[in-house]
Amino acid sequence: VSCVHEGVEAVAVSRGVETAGDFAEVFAAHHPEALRLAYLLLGDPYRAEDVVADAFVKVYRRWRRGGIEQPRAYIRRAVVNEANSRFRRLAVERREVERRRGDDRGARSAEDRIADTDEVFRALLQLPARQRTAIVLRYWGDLSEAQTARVMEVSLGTVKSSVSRGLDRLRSMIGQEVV
Amino acid sequence: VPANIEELVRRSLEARAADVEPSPRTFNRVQTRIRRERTFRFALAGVTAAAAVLAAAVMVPAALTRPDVLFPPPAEQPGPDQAPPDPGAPPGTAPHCGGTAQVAAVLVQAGDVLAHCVNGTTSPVLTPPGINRTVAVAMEGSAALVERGRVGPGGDPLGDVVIVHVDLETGEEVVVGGGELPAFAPDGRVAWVQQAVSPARIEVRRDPFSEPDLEITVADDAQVRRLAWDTADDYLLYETVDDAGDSRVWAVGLGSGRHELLEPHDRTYFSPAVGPDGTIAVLSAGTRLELGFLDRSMLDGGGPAFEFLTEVGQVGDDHVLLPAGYVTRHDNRWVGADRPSWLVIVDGELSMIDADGRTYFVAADVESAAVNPAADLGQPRAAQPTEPEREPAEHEPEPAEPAEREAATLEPQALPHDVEVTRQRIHQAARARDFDALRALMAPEFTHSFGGGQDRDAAAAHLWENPDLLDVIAGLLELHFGIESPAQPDMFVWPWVYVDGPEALWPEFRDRLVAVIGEQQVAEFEAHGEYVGWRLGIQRDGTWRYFVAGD
Repeated sequence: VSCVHEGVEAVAVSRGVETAGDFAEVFAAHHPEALRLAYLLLGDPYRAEDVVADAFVKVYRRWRRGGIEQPRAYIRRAVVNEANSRFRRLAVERREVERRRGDDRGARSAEDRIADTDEVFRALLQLPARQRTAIVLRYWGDLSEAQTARVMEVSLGTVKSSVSRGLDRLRSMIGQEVV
Repeated sequence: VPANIEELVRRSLEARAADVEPSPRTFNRVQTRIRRERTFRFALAGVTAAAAVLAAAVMVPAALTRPDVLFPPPAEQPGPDQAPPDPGAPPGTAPHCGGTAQVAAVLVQAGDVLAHCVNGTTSPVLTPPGINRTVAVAMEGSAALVERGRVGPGGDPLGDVVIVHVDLETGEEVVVGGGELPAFAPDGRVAWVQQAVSPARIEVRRDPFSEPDLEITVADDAQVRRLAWDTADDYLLYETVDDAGDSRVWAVGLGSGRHELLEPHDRTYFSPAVGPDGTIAVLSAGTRLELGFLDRSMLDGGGPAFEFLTEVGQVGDDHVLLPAGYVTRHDNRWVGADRPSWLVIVDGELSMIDADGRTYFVAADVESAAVNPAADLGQPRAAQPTEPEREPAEHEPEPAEPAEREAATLEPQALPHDVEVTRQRIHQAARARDFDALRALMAPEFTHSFGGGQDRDAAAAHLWENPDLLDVIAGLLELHFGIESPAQPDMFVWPWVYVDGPEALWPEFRDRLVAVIGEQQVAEFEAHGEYVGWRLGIQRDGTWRYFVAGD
């Protein structure tokens, strides 16, 4: 975080951005969570950083117009929106990568697979974007269903059905032993 | 081993999230992107400003004369040629939307005024003789203002234009004055334009029946083409067009009386529309629809007048843009939306464009339209829709299911005429196994997957060799469509999910899609979120452009 602050201050002074210091604080405070959210949605740390950067550009525009009352929520939504815009393009790439790479880990027992969080995460990334987003926000972001609906800009019923269907599909993908 | 899927997912997400560490370089990337954006804007502004200064000095020195505000205005008495108020008009001729539902939109369509209700019904509002033009509707949907050119007994125009107040509950009509371009503010104020005088002036009133509170004199030699209220910041925006056909958008502070050109040195804007949250949409020279905010510092004489926010759509410079508030349209019903929408009219075709740039065809042969973003059209709406999270009300009702389907495309009969004609011809030819007719319907540079070229002869030959594809073509054209708006011109694509994604694969239509392209393709689409199956595209002018499959 200190590195981030130093870099920010230097840029702020050299460019004469009037209140960049404040924005740097907002950035430093929320960057890690935003990055992790983007990573869980996209499954790629480099794309996640890119999405977060674009999201913070939009946050900056809004912030410069007079601040943001709930920066954490605003940033979360900005990240989800940015990630959404890339989901469909990434879906094609991801399918091709998976097709070429295959699964080279050989036969595995049900217990191995259940215990393997990679397996769960890999399965999660195979879910449709909306189901994945709803599950990440609910189970990693600890958001209520209503809050999740706000962030995703969908109805409460959509969140409920997305989570339910997503969990059903995860069960079918990682083993029937899980209930 | 945890046997609970929720706990397993939670553990997995926490473990994977802990693996990733923020890069200290990301903020530099943010700064760089902000700078790049600014540099582009300033460079564009510089070039445009230089050109504008040169042009202004040589060609149009008087064109940028600031208009004046007369405040307080002289009292305006109705002219002798204006129709007197008619409070005793018989009620009962206006729609009631079934007695319960609200009016969602009022259109002037083919000269008639029609009220479209939330429940999907449509009723004529007015029947007296006259040439109905611009329409405005009050926020609560109880009243409309209609610009009407009066006609004589033989139907000939009398040459005068009046503003008619229409009570949508009772059908009662009252002529409230002469003028054009009525505009309702969300707070009940109204404005309209006196174009017959020179220079033209805009009158602002507390309500349709009061005397003018304010008169705004527009620049000489300019006609007002559009009014838009920004009640959040108490501005009135108006577009003028001068004798040379040049359009400008002005913003006048109703409290201060200051006029400003809307970012005059950056780009030319026209057809402004203001959503109830203060979001302003404008068309810019070229084909972009931009969203932005007025900067309050404008009233102090500094800062940009208009803050560019985002580009949300591709529309033409001959379009009329109207605010539609927080409503959208699905299957002929108007439902609530979380983000503002705008109506776009071009060549009489009315479409709705949302804040994500998606466009929905609404109606043809439309002269004017207005939507009232009433409070209970569908689901709760926020005062600041661009804020990401709003805590729900304590007893917030769960939104109705159609709200999540607002990305839905419309039924085939809502297609533009040329597209619908081509759709029907292709469908008939495919069902009849008429290969010659299909070939004749293809564009000369027709894109097809089989054979991988842009040759309609080869495409027709391959269809002949694979006649089962004719069933796919016909089946696709019986499904919903999507609109690829960024394409020039708009491309209408079957099936709709190619454009709208897996979120629009509604359960009741899934089986129909399966019947056309098969379960495997649909399942693959659901799994990966990208539709790469058979799809067919007809562009807005009715040209059949492609029938392809794959990435």
